[in-house]
Amino acid sequence: MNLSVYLIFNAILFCVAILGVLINRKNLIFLIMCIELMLLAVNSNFITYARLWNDINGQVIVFFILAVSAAEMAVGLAILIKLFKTKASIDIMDLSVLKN
Amino acid sequence: MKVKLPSTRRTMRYFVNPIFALLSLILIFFLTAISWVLLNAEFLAFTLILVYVGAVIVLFLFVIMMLEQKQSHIVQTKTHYEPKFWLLKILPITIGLVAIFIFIVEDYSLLVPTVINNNNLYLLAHTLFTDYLLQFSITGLILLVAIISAICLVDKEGHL
Repeated sequence: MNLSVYLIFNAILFCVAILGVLINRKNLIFLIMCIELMLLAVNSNFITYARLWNDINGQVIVFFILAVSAAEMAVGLAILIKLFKTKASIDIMDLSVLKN
Repeated sequence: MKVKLPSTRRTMRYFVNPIFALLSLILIFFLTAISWVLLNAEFLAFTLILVYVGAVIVLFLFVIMMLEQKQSHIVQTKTHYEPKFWLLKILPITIGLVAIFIFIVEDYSLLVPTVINNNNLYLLAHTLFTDYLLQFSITGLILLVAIISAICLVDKEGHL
């Protein structure tokens, strides 16, 4: 089975996510979305290699990454709401306002 | 003097609107879940759809709608970087051509999961509850801490 096409797809996905981070330097929502896309590409890579080597440990690691990234998204969106309530903007440059 | 075409401006706004970005993200999650099913990771594929599309994306949607309800101009901020339009045209076409190439080249007879009794869920659960039991418990703890911290962040002062 030709698994390299999956790896190419994951690499393209990761590059698109990095491009999104580089282009959107202002908006916090897009930044979080791009981080999520990057995590998805990494997870797909893990699953592809788990299939390649017939090893279930890769899928277990993907399970943990899913749980941790869900927690991360919850905290990130909470910070976004806090920033919006404090400063009435979602600019990344305004994040330093939240320091005490 | 720079003159912007109105059609160009409309394209910009289409790409910047976060709702469209979010819907595209949902599409990517679904397609990736399908590819995970093809890679013998059925449980994780359905977990991806349930957790991400069901919970995280809905959370995103809630936040975007809350922000748009108060001030709609905030969400659609203009970026300093003007995207190159030839890039925006070339990139999806290239990705689509690669997808069509893969669609033609791929050998579909090998994509079917080979061993029937090789139960993905059984294997995953067995490994998770024997080798990775401590890490599994720590994951639960991380989720608990995340819930508490999110509530503490959003809550007004004095309650907690």
